This record gives sequence, structure tokens and C-alpha cells, in this order.
Amino acid sequence: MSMARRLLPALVAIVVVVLLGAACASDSSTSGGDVGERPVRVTTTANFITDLAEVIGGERVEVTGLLGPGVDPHLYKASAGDVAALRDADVVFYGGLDLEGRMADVLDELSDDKPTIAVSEGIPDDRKRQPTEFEGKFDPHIWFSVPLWREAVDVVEQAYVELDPDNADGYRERADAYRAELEALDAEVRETLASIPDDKRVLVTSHDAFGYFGEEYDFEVVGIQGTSTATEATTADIDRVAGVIADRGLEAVFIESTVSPQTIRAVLAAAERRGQTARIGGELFADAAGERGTPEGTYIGMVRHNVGLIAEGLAPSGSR
Amino acid sequence: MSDAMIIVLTAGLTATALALLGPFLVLRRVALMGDAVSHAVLPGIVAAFLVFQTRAPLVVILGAAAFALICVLAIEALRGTGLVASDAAIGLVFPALFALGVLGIHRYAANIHLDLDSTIYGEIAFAPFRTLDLGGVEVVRSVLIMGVVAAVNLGLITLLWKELKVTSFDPDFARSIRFSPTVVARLLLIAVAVTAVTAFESVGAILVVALLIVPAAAAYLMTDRLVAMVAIAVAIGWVSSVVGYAGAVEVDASIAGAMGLTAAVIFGIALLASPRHGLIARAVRRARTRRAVERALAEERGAQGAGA
Amino acid sequence: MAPALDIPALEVAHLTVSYGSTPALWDVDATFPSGAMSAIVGPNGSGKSTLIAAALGLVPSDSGRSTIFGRPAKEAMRRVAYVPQRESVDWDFPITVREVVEMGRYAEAGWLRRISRSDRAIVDGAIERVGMAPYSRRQIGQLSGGQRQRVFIARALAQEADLLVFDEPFAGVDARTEAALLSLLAQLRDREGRSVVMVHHDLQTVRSMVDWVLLLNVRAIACGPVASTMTPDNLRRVYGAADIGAPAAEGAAWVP
Repeated sequence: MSMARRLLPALVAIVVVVLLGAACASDSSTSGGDVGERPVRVTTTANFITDLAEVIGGERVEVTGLLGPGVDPHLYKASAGDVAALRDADVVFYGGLDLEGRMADVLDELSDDKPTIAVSEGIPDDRKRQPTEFEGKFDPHIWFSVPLWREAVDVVEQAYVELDPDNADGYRERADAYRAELEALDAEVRETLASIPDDKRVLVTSHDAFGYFGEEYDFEVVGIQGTSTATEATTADIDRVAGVIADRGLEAVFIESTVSPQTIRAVLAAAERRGQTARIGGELFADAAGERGTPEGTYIGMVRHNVGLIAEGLAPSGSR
Repeated sequence: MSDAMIIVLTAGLTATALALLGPFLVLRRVALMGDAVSHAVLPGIVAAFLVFQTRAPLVVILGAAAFALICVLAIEALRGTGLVASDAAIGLVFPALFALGVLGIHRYAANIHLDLDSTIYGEIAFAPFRTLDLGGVEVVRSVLIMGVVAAVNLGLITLLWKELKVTSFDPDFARSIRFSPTVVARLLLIAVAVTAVTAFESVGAILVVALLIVPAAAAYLMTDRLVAMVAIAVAIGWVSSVVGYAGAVEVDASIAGAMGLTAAVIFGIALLASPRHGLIARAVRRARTRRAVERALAEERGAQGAGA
Repeated sequence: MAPALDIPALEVAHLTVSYGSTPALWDVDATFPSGAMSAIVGPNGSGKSTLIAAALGLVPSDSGRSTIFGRPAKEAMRRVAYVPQRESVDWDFPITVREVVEMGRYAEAGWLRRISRSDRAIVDGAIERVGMAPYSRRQIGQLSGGQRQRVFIARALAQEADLLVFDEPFAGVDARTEAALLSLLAQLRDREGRSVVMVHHDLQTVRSMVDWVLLLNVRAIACGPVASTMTPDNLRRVYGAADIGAPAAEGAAWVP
């Protein structure tokens, strides 16, 4: 009896908390609602998605990007303002395929309230890369294949048209124009990379963000460490990659804007011992585009930057 | 209710659940238990993923909880041998488990994103968006989960109050009256492990590690009563939640970071200004004693001078 | 009251305990009569604390057995109040005098239950008896060494045990307090017939205040009434030649 009485506060606490929790949820769901004449409020994750949302949305949209340049989407930590950005948005665009890690669950739950759209959702499964160990888990880094990113344009365009049908024509026009730009970009990429002979088409980087790039533009991609940032490269990884550099006579390897360059320096030292002097060909944009306002701050600028560096590093000296 | 209220409520309930246990960890000199658990859960996540091929929260939590329990019980067992000190036991067990997890990822899951941040560690900012349907009523998950955990912890320390007190204070005596310190320590640590894992999932690791120890350590400086220490620790947890949230909004920063920092600032204030154990109080007392001694010495010399 | 040996308060037979490969106690036989004040005496490292802990079943023994009032120690622990050495106590622990003494009633209350009103009355009485009533709300770290020891004796009193076992109860206690506490223990023996067993280092006190003594140096050297046991010959066998008659043998044994 006395024991039950002593537990009473705890039981009361549980009941209060359940009621509080329920009360909280019942008023917190604010829907995007009718857009009408005001601008469409858009929230995005990675900054190249922000770029896409702005390009297609034009004057009609106000875009808030949650992730800045140089932020690994897996390691993103929300700030207080991000809560309002997600709550007030009419639509949320994100990468999908687990690019955003745990945040995907949140976006999934948010979809009861408002459209939350993975820009990768229009890509059929057979065009996605699947690591061998796990079925149904796809590589999220689709944006380094320009034709795949073109699919994302359709997704964003469709979302805007449904949300703001009065201005559908504007979205369609901007999407058409951007698709044309991306097609031109794709041709430009292929042309720039044509200067690299077949046996040198090996892209050595610090982590596996360039799988789609390799498939699209016919490169062998050698990542030093796996996709997970929790593990570190082993000496065997470093030896393996140094071996590739030496065997293929590569002159440049690349680092990424979101990964520490230390490991790649160890690889270069190992390759040096095997008689192949390679250099760091520069920093590639991987999981984020560059600073806003710089040329690399847009998707197109980011791709041009990467492809330029790759061509410069791997093409034979004469052709440069 | 607003998103702000939900976030503060989630943080406050998490702080309550943790601050009810933290004082006992501080008094038993195993304050780093929270950090240990935050790393030791990695192999559990890998194992859960390998067995069930999913990162679904429930599976991940169960895997993590299993290894959190292994971690705390192994630390306690190692302490119990008397061969290594508390801090060494903690320092031995959790790196071993973390290393096991890293090896597991490297061997079996190198090509997918499997790490603590993308699996178990939640983000308090997203608490308002994660709801649960409970018989037709929508309930905020983190408020519900952390509230229930806090209530269970409250029940646990209410029931085990005198057992926790006697085994923390005088384990030899406790053993002589058949209050096994080992059993009480295990119950406490199981509660710590379960609370830590559920809190990781709701609010992320930084906040858990901070709120488990910092409020308890500050409270320790501010009172001479155990019951007051626990109550003050809970109160500091709530103040940190409210002030930390306001600060995070002010500068648009990480909410968990701001709350953890607020708790640290409160500890700093307690360290300086606590009436009994604070550094200022101590300096004042010392100065006062010195003056009294000088005065007494002067009087004594004066008396001797008069006598001679 | 004459020491009664028909049912001893505490008896150990062939008790052997080792830490690692070195024996702390070797084949110790000893008997402590009920209704008497007994002391365990010996140099540092002679196994005095170990003997107490092993006899009460608090540390595992390699061989031997111990009985309390004729029953196996594990079954009779309810009748024992044990006061461990104080050096392991965290004096900064946020706990008051009263709360420490209340612990003496925990065994009676049992797991998960709170102590009752009658338990509280017993606690008040115990605090009163050691003269600590004015300090009952003090945090224990704010007491002097003698006061601290009085608190732990009060806790043992609150246990209302028939056998009180103390490990070095007067370490760090001034002579006046020690005398007062000893006379309190003598009162318990004389008026209530309680038995006391303590580890003690002051041979002088042992001679004047204690009824029965065990001389211990890993092995039991001698055990019996003080007068017939504390012979110069026996003391030499326990301490070695140099220290006999020194007022505090353990302190004097260390000569820089």
C-alpha cells in the first residue's frame, strides 16, 4: 500500500506527460495551405538543391536552404531557425536515398502536412547505383551525372505546378530553359573530358561520391575509404590506391570539399615510394556546392569546376 | 502548442530523466558513464543493421540498448574485481566496444552510411515534427518517450532511495546489512543505459552527455542534502533547456549545443558563487580567518608587551 | 557481567583468507565471548580488518567457517552491527548526521520500504545517546573526527544489534572522546549485555578497558582474557621485540 502510494507521483507524471504530448501535437500541425498570391515558401537541404529550387521557382518562390557550403549532409546539425524553416515551408525538397541520414525520418513524417519531395524520386531503380552488400540501399550522389540531375528538374517543376497552378506556365518555361542548359552542360562535360585518354580515366578521391560520375562519363572511380565517415582508411586501402596510381601512371588525385585531405596525402606518399609522382589535382565539390554568389555556388558552376580540375589533372600535358 | 514549447518540454523531460540519475553517478565517481554509453552503442547499431537490414528506429534502439547494457554492466563488473579503478574501467570498456563497432562497419558495411549520427543520434530541433498516433490522438513522440522514461526513473529512485543512499555512501556497511551494492549499482546502471539510449534517439548525444553530469555536478556544489542535490539538478536541467533554447533562437545556433553550454555556464556560476563550496565563499572565509588570526596574534603580543 | 563462553558472540575456526598468493589470514581459530568487550590486536598488515570482514562473510574466505551466537554468520547478520574503517568514507557526501544514523534501521525496514515512526524514535535515541542531538542536521563533513566517529557508533546503536563490530573505531579520535566512547560501550555491555568486538591499536586502552583479546599476526598468536593473554612473551611474538609496552604499538613501529 505504502509502496503504491510512493509510486503515485511517477504515475501521475506519466499521465500528465501523455496529455501534454497529445496537446502539443494537436495544435502544432500547420499546413502549407493555399499559396494564393504570396510567394511559395520552399525549404531545401543541400545547397545545390537550393540552387535548383531557385532556378525553377524564379520570382515566385522564397527558398531557405538548410545546409551551407562545405557541410556534409550526414553530419548536418540543425539550428533553431531550421525548425521554423521546415514548419513554415509550403514544400520541402531534399536529396533522398538516405543522403540526409536521420533527417529523412523527419521529412517523411512532415509529409503528412505538406509535400516533402526527394528530388531523386523520379529516377528509376535501374539507373541508380546499388552497393553490392545491401539490397535496396542506393548511392545518393546522383548529381554528378548531369542527365540524372535533369530528372530532378522534372520533379521540382511538377511539385511547383501542383502547388501553384496559376503560375504553371512560368515554372514550365524556366524548367524547359534549365533542361536545355543542362543538356548543353552535359555536352560540354563530355567534350572537356574527351582530352583524357582511356587508360588515364581513373578518378582517385577520398570518398565514394563520384560513382554516378564514373558511370556516366566512363571513369573508373577509386575511393580510398568507403561511404561511411565513421571508419577510417586502412593501410591496405592506402596501398591498394597507391598501387592503382603507380600502375596507371596517374598524375593527379583529388580531394573533396567535405572530407579531410590527410588520407589522400598518405596515398600520394605511398605512390611516390612506388615511383609514381602524383599531385593533388585540387578540391572537388562533393556533397555541397560552393559559396553563394561565387560561380561554384550554383550546380552548373560546381560541375564545371570539378570537370575542369579533372581534365587539367589527368589529360596528358601536351593536350592542355 | 508551439514548436518552441515542444522543444523546451522535450529538453526539460530529458533533463529530468537524466538529472534524476546523474547525482548518483557523480557521487559514485562514474560520471563518464554517459560518454561511455554514447560510444559503446555503435556495435549494437551495426549488429542490428546486419541482422535486420534496416535503420528503422526501433531496431536501432534495441541494438543500441543491448550494447549500452553490455557496456555499463561490463564496467561495473570490472570495477567489482578491484583490479582497476572506476575511471580506468570506463576507459577500458567503451573504446573496446567502439572499436568493435568500427571494425564491424569496415568489414561488413563500408559502402553505406552507417554511423552514430545517421542512425541513433536524434536532433532535438526535429522533435516537433515527429509525432505518433496513439488511438486516434496525435502525440509528440519525444515528449511521450522522455516523459515516460523520466517518470520511470522517478519511480525507480523513489523506491530505491534509501538503497541508493546507503550503497553510494557506505558500500561496506550496506553489504553488512544485506543491501547488496552490486545489485543496486546494476539497477542504477541499467536505468542509465536505457535512459541514455532513448535520449540519444530523441535529442542527440551532446545533450545527453551534458545533462547527465553537468547539472548534477553543479548541484553537488550547491547543497549538503542528497534530496536537494537531485532536485537542484533537475531544476538546472530545466533552466538550461529554457535559457538554452532562447539563446539558440537568438543567434540561430544548434539548440542542443546552446542548452549544453547553458548548463556549463550554470556550473561555472555554482563553482564561483556557491554559498558553501564556491571559490568566492572559500576565498572570503580564508581572508576572514587570516584577519582573525592576525588580530589574535597582535593582541597576544600586546599583552606580552604590557606584561614585560 | 562475566564473559560467557557457552555460546560465544563470535567464533571463527580455521579461517584462511588470501589476497593473491599471499595469505592475509592463516588458519585462525578465535572465540569472542558474549557480553564482553573484546579487542583484536596486532601490527599493520596482520589481517585484523580482514578477520572481521571474513568472519562476517563480507569478503570470501578460502577455508574455515565462522559462527555468530552459534549460528552460521550469514544467517545471523541481523544481530550484528558493523562499523567499517572510516578512511574510505567520502566526507563531502551530501548527507546529514541523522540520515547516517537512520541507515541503522534500514535492515529492519527491508528493501524498498521506508523506515517507520518507531524506527525514527530509535534513531533519535541513538543520536541522543552519543550526544550528537545538537548536530543532527549537520552534513557529516562539518564534524570533528571524534564527532564523526560518534555518528557511526550511533548508527550501530540504532541497529539494536547484540554484537557490535568496530574496525579501528578510535583512529583520528582524541583521547577524551575515546574515553567517553569506551565508557559508552562498557555501559552497553554492562547494562544490556551486548557484545563488542573491535580492532584496536592502543595496547594501554586494551589493558585497562577490554575483557578479552585476540593477538593476531596472520596467525592467531593467543586468544583469551586480557590479563592472562597479554603477556610480554605473547606480545613479543606478535610485534617482535622492539615494540613491547609502547603506548601505540602501530605508531611506534615506524621509526624513521
